[in-house]
Amino acid sequence: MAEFVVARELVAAVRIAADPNALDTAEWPADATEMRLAPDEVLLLDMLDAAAPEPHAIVFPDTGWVRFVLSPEDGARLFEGAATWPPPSLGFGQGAIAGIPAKVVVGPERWCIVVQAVLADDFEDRLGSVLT
Amino acid sequence: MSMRVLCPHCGPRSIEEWVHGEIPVVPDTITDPDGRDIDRGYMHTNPQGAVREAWFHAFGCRRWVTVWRDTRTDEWIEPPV
Amino acid sequence: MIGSGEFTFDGEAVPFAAGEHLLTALLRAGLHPTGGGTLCAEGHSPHCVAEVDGVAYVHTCQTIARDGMLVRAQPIGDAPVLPSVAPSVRPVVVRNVHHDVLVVGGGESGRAAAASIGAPIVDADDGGEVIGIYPGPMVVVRTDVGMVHHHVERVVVATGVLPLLPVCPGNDLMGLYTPKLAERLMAAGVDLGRTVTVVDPPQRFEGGGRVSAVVVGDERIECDAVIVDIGTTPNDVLARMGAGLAVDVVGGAAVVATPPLCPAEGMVCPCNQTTMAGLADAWERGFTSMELLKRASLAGTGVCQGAVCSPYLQSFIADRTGTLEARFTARPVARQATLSEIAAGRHHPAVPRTSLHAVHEAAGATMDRLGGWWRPWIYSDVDAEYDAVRNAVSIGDVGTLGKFIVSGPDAEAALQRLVPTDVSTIGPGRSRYILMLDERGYVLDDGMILREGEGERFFMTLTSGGASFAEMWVRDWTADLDVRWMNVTMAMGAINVTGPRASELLARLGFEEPLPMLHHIHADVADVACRVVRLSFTGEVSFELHHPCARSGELWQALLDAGADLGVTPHGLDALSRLRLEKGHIIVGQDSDYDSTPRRLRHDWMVDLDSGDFIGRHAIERTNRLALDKQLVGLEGDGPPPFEGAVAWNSDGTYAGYVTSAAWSATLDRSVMLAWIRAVDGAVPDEVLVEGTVVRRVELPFYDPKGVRARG
Repeated sequence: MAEFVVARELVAAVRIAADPNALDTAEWPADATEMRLAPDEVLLLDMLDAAAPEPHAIVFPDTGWVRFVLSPEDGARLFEGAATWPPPSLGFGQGAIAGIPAKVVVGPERWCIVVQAVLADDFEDRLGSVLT
Repeated sequence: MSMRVLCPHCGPRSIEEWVHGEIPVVPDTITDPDGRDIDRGYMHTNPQGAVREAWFHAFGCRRWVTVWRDTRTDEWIEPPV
Repeated sequence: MIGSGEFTFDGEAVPFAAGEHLLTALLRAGLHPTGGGTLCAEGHSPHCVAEVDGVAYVHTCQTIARDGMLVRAQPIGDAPVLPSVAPSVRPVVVRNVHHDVLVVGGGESGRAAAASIGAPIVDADDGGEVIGIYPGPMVVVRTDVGMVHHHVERVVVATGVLPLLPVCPGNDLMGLYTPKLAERLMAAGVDLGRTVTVVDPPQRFEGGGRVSAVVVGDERIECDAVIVDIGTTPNDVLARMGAGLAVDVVGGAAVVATPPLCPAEGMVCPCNQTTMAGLADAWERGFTSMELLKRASLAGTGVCQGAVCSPYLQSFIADRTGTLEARFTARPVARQATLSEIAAGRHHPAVPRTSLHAVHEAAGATMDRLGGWWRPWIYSDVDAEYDAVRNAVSIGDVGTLGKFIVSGPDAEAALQRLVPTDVSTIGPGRSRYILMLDERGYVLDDGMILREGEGERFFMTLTSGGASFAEMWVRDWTADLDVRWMNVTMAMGAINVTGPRASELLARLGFEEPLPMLHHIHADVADVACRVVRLSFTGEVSFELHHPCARSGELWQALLDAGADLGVTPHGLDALSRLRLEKGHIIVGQDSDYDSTPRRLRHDWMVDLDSGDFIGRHAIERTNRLALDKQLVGLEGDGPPPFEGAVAWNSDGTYAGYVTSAAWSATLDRSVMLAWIRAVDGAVPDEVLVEGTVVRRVELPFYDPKGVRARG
């Protein structure tokens, strides 16, 4: 693992597909990180399970994501070198980074970048070629 | 190379993140059901000017967006009245 | 002279002073990069291009000389010589920056525009060479440290004017300079000899190789160099490139200039060696507008992007029609760029690896990219892998299957629309093999639909290659329904446990419930929560274990450990391909084509025309009325299997079709194949020739036609 990566970890997550209104009003535990993938789909990091926000909701414990934690400086450098969209100033954003679909949560202390586990090795390689 | 499509959920993203989807338009003058099927399946009008088309945001929300584009300038436009 | 180094030009050492351009040093040494033609200092005249360190079409007037550079002459109007040894190519880094507005050009108009809106400036004299303006808009700039991609809302092009280059006989001689270049050369101490400045278009330049005289009007002036100061023309290449984009043009670049007088003769497009006579010839042949004249004469299609010719093309046309036509459209690139520079910031698609990728590699599998994934092709012995499935038990990684969870009040209605089968008759805990058709009635994909035990909830699997497309397809077609789709393709692993002893192996890992064919159940296998699906692709008893992908490794290992004495062996795709072929199972995309109706594929039994208004229904009804013209059929032969794609011939030598899948069947002791064969007089022939050998049409499947083994 390249030295600039603070952490690479499999992340416990729950993915929910539900009616958009139900997702708008649903409340999640305070320590969960919410990523609103689409109006009718949400990914909750650091959770093992969740209550269905409506009767037809699909609640799926999802082990298919890998999280990379970067310093704000490295996060900004990664975007400059490998993304054609500006990073969110704070909070969630998603799009291509180094040609791989990625989700990002920008925080004041650290940037979390989440990619599908099936692409995590490729992502780590490409991240390394941009940051070193 | 870097034309951007506005995703109402994710924000503007460059064209590489998207998959283009044609929305076929069958002229009203074709009334025979088989003829309409064949036109829809095989005829591509490729008009100069305003077209309604769909784009799938494959690298983001993975949902379809419907937009109007001017094929002469590649500008996103308001739906014609 | 401050010598700070040397480069070579065609092997000859050329000294240069610090910070000097290659062109300055070449001219001081009495050399000319292309042997003649008017030179400028703005990187527009094509007469200064050379090959520099293996890169062709480099403007020497824009390139600062460095010690040891290898410069080679590259005559204009000719293609550069490709290097015999591939040059080493380093990736070029890119920096993405975002602004509201970017100003291109640091002259008076550019500085004024930038100051009024507080926008940054990119300028060639300041190390930022604009390669092109692309839709976005995106401005691509080359700098000393790599490429910069400016993503902006609006571009202001303020590139000013260019010196007009002369078109007349002798304009390909040495010793012709624009005023700015002459100034630069004199400042650098280059001795130009006797110079004369002309402000009116010359009649001609005279000389042998180098200019010795210039004729202007009636006057003939002897000289060693001519400073050609005959006016300017808008520098509008980027403006023309930005047409239709959010691009404003200001200053000299925006002026609609009066074109110069139309020259009677001379080289108008040095890049392509087009003369004024060449233009006249194209005009005579009927190419009487700007864009047509350009295409017919090639003037303006060279490296300089019309820097020399475009004002003269305007005057040529105005002379004949009396109207001032706009200049032709410009396209990126505006400057030569290497493939590495163009590729900077681009990424090839990443190929996903299943949750068992490392396990396959550790087992020594040959991995290959198939169906959009890295997959094991062969572990070590394909025959042993095949035997394990037919005679014992084997495991295969099928985590690449497309996988969707479907829920909602309209879930059943959504599936009814998407597949040509009556989904309402799939009972709880049951599953069905399905096709997905497009509106033309052609097969898009195949897979399974599974109904959960209760509620309007389903699980759908599709082929590995089709999942990405399928998600777009199903979301598009069901947007009006109250249905939730979740694509869990990447989130779930799947292992196929197959072979006559598959049930025995699963029983050892705690799964003992009898599960009939085409049933499924949620159950633990080796303490991993699985959806167990009973089906068969190999022709033997098979269970697919769908499970959270983080636990694939332990489940795989538990199966290997528990089945060691049963002879459990993993099988790769090579073995799987043979196994399924013996059963006549198609692979969509390999055995199907873009016009494969279910009937042509002999899968019309999967289409239930009583099941409502599914996609493709009208096309199926229409094509069912037509005579069958070709069919995917099973063939068998006694010789070795042909290559996939081999042509099949009728006995009378006419074309019959082609083979889509072929393998040697160890079990049946003959070659088996699937092939598209055309009907002759309404029937598919009983025999065809493939690779010179007679092969016979047989009913499918080749192996276990009654399906006894798969049912167990």
